[in-house]
Amino acid sequence: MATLAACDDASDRPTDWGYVHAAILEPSCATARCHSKAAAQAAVDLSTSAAAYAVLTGRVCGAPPLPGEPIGNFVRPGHPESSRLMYLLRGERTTIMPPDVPLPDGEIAVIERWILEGAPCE
Amino acid sequence: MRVALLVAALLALAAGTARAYPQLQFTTGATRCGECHVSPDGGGLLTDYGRDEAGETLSGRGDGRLLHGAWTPPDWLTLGGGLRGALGGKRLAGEAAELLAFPMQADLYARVAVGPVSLNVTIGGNGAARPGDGAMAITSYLVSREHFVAFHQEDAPWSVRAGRFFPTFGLRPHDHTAYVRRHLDMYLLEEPYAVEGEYTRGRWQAFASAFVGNPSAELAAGDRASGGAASVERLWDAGAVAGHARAAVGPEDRRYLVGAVGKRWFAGPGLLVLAELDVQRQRLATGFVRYQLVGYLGVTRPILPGYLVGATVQRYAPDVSFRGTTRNAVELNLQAFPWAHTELHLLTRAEATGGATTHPNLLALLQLHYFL
Repeated sequence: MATLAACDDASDRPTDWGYVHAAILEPSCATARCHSKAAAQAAVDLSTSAAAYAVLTGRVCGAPPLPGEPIGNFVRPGHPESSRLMYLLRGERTTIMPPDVPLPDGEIAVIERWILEGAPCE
Repeated sequence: MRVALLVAALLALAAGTARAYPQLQFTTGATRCGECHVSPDGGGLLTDYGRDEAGETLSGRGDGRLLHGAWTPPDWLTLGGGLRGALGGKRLAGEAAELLAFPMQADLYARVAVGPVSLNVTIGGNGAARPGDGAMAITSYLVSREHFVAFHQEDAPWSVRAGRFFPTFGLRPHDHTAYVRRHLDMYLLEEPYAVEGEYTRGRWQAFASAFVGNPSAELAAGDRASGGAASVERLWDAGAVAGHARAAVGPEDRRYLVGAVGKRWFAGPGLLVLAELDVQRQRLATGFVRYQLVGYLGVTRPILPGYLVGATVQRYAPDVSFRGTTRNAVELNLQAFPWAHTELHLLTRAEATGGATTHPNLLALLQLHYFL
């Protein structure tokens, strides 16, 4: 019954990395045969906050980016429209992720806002 | 050579699931999981009575004993195993249909008992293993989802166990994708290490456990939280009610769960109704708090010997106040047991994500199951 009264949308949810990882990515993606540390499909380990941030953004959380440091394969901070992660989550021109049950639009919107705000790790 | 090929094939398979079929509670005369299973929480090894039931009541044909009765192990040793594979297809909303064919389970179970003490081990192929940069040890391809030492004196109303297993609460269906497992830390390889006590008296049965996350990231999944769980079930003539609670503290959150289970057997129409409802409070390390809800309602019509026909509706709200994030699923299941040790299970599921019901995700799987 409580879900019938759901009234918040993506703009009411935090866009900090702690929320994005713990509330969305870890429970949906870091499963035994997918992106757990042991399976790490496509060399992507999303099991811990630090590992997931590093593989998605190409940066170590807390460390300043070095000059010329390459951006991550999946997230281009500030630019969701050119971030591979968004294409994967929406299944645009590639296999949709997660492949069993795609994320709801609201959770994808939270991730998009996190990228748009620079993909901070704090 | 044949043996080597067989072993290699088994190792290529994935450790799947070894839980019980809760829809067999009450419908075949058994009222407790521990009547048919060695473990009091159900699943895994079968007791002699459970094997008889599997052969005579469930299948109606064949010999349910180990290796179809060709060899009887000594009293101190109990053996078993499960092989399961699947064929089928899925179609996600807006995507093309996709054919599926994959191994699901290849497990061996063993129990060695010396008086009231027993060692219980499940070993199977580790489907999560992948080749690394260097040579991988054989242990990377094998995983023991469950291994524990148990103490239970015959006729004593209590037992204890310590090792790796899921703390006992809830319906615990064999399908690991059921929402009450998938979203309550009972998915693949998420078994923690735990100490659990069980007490049965008359119509009451209670479990209490304390657990810690598996320290090995190579052999486990999930957030590997630590905490405690408790459940109490009361039987009556044709059903049961149960309540449970769990607290889990992980590196990124704290979760507090309360839930209830109802089971009711309607002998007239021959229908078993199973229901579970769970509410969980999750506080993230960042301070954000959300409430989650998981629900399961299933109806099973046994046509014995030979068949179980069932339907379920399931609901998972990862954040009850976040509009459009709820998952809903409707399932139809047909299970056929043509011969002792064998099962054909046709699972069909329509699942809607985010409340959209016009283009659900569709899944149909025919599972082939053989147990030793």
